[in-house]
Amino acid sequence: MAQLNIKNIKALSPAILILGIIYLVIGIISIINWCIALANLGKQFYPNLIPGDLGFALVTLTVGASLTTSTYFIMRENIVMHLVSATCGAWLAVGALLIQIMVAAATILDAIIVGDSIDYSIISENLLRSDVIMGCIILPALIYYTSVLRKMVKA
Amino acid sequence: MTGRESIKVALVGIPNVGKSLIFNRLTGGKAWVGNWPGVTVEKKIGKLRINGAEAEVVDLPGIYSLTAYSIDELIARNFIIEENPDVVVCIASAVNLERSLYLAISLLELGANVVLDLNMIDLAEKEGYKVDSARLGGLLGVPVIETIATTGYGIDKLKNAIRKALQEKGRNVRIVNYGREVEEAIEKLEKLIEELTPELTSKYPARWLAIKLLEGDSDVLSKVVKLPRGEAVVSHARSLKECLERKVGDLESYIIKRRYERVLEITKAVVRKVVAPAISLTDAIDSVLTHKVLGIPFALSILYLLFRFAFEVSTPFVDLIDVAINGYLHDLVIGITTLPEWLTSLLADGVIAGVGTVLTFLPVVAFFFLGFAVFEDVGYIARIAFLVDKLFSKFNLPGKTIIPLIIGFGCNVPGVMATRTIEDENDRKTAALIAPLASCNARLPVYLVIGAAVLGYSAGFAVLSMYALGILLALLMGFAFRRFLFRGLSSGFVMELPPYMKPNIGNVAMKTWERTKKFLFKAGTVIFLGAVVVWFLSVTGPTGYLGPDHIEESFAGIIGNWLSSTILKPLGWDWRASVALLFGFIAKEVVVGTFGVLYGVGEEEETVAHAIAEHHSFTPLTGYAYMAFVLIYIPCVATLAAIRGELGLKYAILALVYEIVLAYVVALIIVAGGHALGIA
Repeated sequence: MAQLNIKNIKALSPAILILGIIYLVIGIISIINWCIALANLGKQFYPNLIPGDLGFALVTLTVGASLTTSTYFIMRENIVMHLVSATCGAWLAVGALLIQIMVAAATILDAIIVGDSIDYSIISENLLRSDVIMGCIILPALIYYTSVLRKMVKA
Repeated sequence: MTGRESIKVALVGIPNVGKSLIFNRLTGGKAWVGNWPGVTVEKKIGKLRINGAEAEVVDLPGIYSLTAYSIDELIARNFIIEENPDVVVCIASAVNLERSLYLAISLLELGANVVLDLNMIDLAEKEGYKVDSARLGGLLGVPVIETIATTGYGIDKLKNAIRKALQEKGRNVRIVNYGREVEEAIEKLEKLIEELTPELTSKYPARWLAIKLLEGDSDVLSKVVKLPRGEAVVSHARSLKECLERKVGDLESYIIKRRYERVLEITKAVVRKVVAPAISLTDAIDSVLTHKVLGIPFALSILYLLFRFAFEVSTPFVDLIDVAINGYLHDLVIGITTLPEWLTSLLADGVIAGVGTVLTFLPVVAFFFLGFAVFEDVGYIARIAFLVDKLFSKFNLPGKTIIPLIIGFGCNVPGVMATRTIEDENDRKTAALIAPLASCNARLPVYLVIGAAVLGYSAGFAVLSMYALGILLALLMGFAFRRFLFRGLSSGFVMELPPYMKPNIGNVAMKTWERTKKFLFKAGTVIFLGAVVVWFLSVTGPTGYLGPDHIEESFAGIIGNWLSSTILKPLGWDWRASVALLFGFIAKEVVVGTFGVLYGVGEEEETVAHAIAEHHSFTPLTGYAYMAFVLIYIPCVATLAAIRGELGLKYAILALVYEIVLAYVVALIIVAGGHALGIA
């Protein structure tokens, strides 16, 4: 069973690396967008998908760094550290996803309270963001990695 | 029973041992919260029914030992001595038994009637340890009860043990053998204490007094020396100490070492490793979350998500209160035409606006505390403090100071209130006083407007520099406070990293409720009064009531004019800038709105910036100095109220004064320095 888990983890690790790199790229674009907005330099790159916000950039870069670092550990055959690094990054990514879903729900509720119309733009602005999309993609990996990690640290 | 009418049970334990949860389990969660006399350390009292009688359960501060080096430890030890509780429940961590046992031994030496609660046995088992509680009880001579506070396991047994312990008194105070020579000295000193200062031995065990005198405990020394024949006891203790130090070195260190040796002896005898060593989940997670490179970005990211939860998810509740109070209620009062104009204005713009200000803060504060309590229960907050401890210790500040500062970037009110998690009183006071220097969200519109109006392409950098300036000043002021104002006792930088745990819903709810309630009642009253005072200054003048459209002739306008022509003259700001600063006392974001009103252009940031640029109210240099002044000059009324609630009126005034002086000095340095460099 443990052998099977390790085999699966090794097979999944390239996907984790790709996700990590995507997160890093999103983080860098977010910083660029933030600079563009701050210095009023013109059009941002996909501002709805990748908001120019330092906090957002920090979260995505941290997730990216954690996921890519996990690949380093698997190269050194340190499965537990690979699992921990990837799981911590994935937890942060899913945390960002959950907060964004709550923010979307709060925005809709707020629109009802202040009497604004609820249209598609609320959903698109709040849910069609890279942290939401990437969070959904990483969620199955998080569930699997967490369960394997629990078994490995107990064993 | 002890004979006296009220039964007192004290709860004591090292930080993060699950003491609050045990307290809630014993008392049903109902507690009266106050402060210990003379200090701002929280005192929590609850009730527990024992044998049909009601017992008072007192939650003592989280401590590691009973020395006189920390306020918390002095409070705990004085409570045990002065109040003489019938039972002292020492909550120990089965995961970290050594540290807990040191405290238990200190309590036994003090003669306390101890019941040892061995908590977190589930976590210890998960980490591969088994503690033989029966043997532990035998070695210490006290009842030992195993509990799991998160599930409530063992709580009934603990209640029974407290009940049984009430029948007994006088535990073994000779729990540690300090070696033949030191023991002989202790014995000699014991006899002398009993003979010369019998008034002390009715309260304190003579052996404990003798040990403390040999250790050179400042609190005990000062108590003994005050007595008529105390000087003789102290001088004898000194000569014995000197004599012993020639043989064993520093006596205090030697005594501590012997206690630790006893602790290790007991631990070895009772702790058994049942599973082959494997990395625990806590250690595994910590290898990433407290990593020297990844740890800080993780901490900042988690705090950023906590901000978003507090500020964005709470928005509908803020707006609901805003619509109800500042909308419906305000319009309702305005609609009463039978009232005189000044009374309508007082009710609508003073009282209702004041209540509205208090209540619109409430959802943000409650959401923040909810999120914070979850991370606290999980065990993550201690990790954040651990990460920055090294850097902060250079400024003589504990790592936990980072939490109020980072939270302060969102809003200074929860920032100040988050200082409650700092155990040491001096550290907490320092953190609460410097927390307002973190640049909160409300200051950002001011930076953006002034930046857009006069700084052009440098605006972005100028805004960023405000955040950096805030942190730099906070560290420097923290250092200054610790060096000159709070030089006294400190808990040092000892930090316990608790194992990660699932948050307990009841505990999280209780913490959130207690902290939010405190904000509402303590801070709320001051915010309300502040709002009414500012209303009064803005609608009245020397000729009486003026209404809301004559600010220049109002007291606020007069003060603004006076300020800009006297104190603020070297800074080069006009009367409008001075009036805006006055109104910024309510909330920093009001500064922009005030500029809008004074220029007659509304509150839109872009139009306000345009108006400022058009009127040439600032040069780039004076504009930048104004931004720095707004960052530092005064905590808003809500923050000031929070400081008053946490530290008292004296410190609220101190915060007010030092920030005004600091703001003025920094702004003056910017302007004078800029002029010296030829910048306009």
